Amino acid sequence: MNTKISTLKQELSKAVVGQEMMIEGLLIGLLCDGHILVEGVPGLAKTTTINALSKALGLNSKRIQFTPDLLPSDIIGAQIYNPNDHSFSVKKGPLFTNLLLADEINRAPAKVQSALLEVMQERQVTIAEETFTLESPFLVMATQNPIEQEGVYPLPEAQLDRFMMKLVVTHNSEEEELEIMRKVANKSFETIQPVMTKEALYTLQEEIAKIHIDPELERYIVQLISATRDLEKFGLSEVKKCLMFGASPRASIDLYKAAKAKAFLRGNTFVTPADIGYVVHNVLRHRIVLSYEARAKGMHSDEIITRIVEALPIP
Amino acid sequence: MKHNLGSLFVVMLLMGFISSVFAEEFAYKIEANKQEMYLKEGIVLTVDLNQTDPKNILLFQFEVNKSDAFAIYPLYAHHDDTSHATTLHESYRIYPLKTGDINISFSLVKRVTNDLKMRHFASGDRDDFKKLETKDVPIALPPVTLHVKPLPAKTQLVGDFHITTKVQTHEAQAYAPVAMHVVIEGEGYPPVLDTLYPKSKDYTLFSQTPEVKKTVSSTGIAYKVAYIMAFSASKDFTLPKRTLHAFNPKTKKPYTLTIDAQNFHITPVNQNALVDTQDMPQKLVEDWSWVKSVLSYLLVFTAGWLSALAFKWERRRVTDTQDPLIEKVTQCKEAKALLQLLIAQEDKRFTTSIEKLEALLYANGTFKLKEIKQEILEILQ
Repeated sequence: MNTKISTLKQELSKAVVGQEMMIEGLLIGLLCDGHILVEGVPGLAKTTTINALSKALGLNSKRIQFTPDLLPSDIIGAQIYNPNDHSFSVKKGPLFTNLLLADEINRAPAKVQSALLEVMQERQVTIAEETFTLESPFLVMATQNPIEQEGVYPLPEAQLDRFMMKLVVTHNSEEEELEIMRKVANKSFETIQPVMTKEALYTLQEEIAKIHIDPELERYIVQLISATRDLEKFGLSEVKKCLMFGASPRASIDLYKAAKAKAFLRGNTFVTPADIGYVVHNVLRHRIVLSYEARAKGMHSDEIITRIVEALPIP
Repeated sequence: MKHNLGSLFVVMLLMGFISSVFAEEFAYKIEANKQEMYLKEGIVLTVDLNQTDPKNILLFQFEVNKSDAFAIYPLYAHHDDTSHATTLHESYRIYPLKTGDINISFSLVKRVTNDLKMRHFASGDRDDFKKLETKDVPIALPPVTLHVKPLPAKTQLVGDFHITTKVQTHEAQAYAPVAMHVVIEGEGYPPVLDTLYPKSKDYTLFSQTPEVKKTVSSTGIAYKVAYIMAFSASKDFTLPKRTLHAFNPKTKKPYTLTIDAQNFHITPVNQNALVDTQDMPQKLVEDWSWVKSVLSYLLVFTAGWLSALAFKWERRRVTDTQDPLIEKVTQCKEAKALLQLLIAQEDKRFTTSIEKLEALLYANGTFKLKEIKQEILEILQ
């Protein structure tokens, strides 16, 4: 593994116990300029992780709690009138940061979600007639609570597609939870120190771009995405009725980038089928839409992705 | 005593003056256009009453006293309550209902007031009504006497009338109603008769109260009385000729109004066809349709419940059976196939096995497939 990455992970472990999958997902998002959607119950160290990552990288981080009465101007900013000189000045919103935790994004109405997701895509904000480019790196980690679904505004499929990966965060193991408990009781969490600069992060991004991927694996990625659109073609007729819509071309791009980043994080200079397999669920689970029949049977999109990967021979 | 005699003199002086004023305050004239007439012959009674002394304000309450000896209908009335010059002009149509001498008596009240009281009365509004203060004096008027002569025998109508008859059709099916309108029109005593045709076993008569329309003018009242009837019968029938005896007081001659005999041809119908073969309304039967509804709801509920159970059983069947991955792993004969199977699972437990398989496939590693499979099976079991 790259020494810089291992140092970063070690620094993060001072504040975050376990949750390797979430940390790795965040790193992949950061290295690939993507955004991450996290699904998990409260109290799984989502805010702690973002804060720790920002401190370790020497970046800014902010957190927005999404609520039904939130307005777009609350997150992107607005013009403020100054009565002294009768002029307007721009007050930038919390979006102007490097790492942003959008907590419970599905609690806010569609117009606020759209405002955020548009900024995620364009990486620039227009307030009144002035356009501001967001500072790089810019990563949004949005969270969704799988419980308490009353009064929420589910993200539409087109909006979900803007997230590079959807991570399902689960509870820590018993051993990890015991460690957390002891650390909190003894106040023995260490202070995070900056271990990497922004420039070093850019260097890592350049290194990832140089990771080799075999053309056959590139084709394999495309086939995986195509299979979500035409299951019958890949011999998956029995689950054909379970899927309503397949993944978009954006999924191919994100899977390609995520596989490269995963290979990099594993310390490889080339992508293997396993690298693709490690990230394929995270990249696809929020991009495919299950049919009513599948949902009635209690199926999950992960099951369909597993069937697809099982069915497609690796190069 | 001296004072008392003086007061009495003043009072007596005032009474003589009122009497004389009263006598000259207004003039009246009440007259009938005829003193001798036939029974039910219409006459016109005219009343004229004019204030002659403008000193006071006079108001009059006049009416003809009702009596069963005559019938009275107002024809014209004009009251002018102009201050100090009140006039009253009225006319009535009177039909004597008894023969011999009859008296028409009147009631007249003279109401005396003055300008001050009138202004006080007129200054009120709807929320502050002020009564007009008057001094009311009943005036005795002599009655008007009429001498009423009897009508010729059998007279049914008095006046100048003509009759028209309208029959809708003379041919009908059995029991179908045939409409008939008879209209008696003209000037005279209201030509309203109890019935035009008697009941008969040959037909059924449907009739209604005659429609009476009257047109009032200053000289008299014209009547138009419509008799609306319908007949139904099961066979042909004839309405006999009907003759009404009338008397015209103007010409003093009796005359007759005639309704010609009417022959109706009735087409018999098959009576059996008129009878419904079905009971209407239908016989009352117990409504058990709610049982059907309840059973339908139960059926739908049971179907839904069983569907839910079926899904549950299916899930349990799948989970109860052995992990299918074990069988899949066992069946894998190549490292590549096993790697494909493991990377599809998204399970951290297989990370080591995946790395070994990668080493075996892409880095000429020394791991054995059989051993790797065994490791995986141990994890799964």
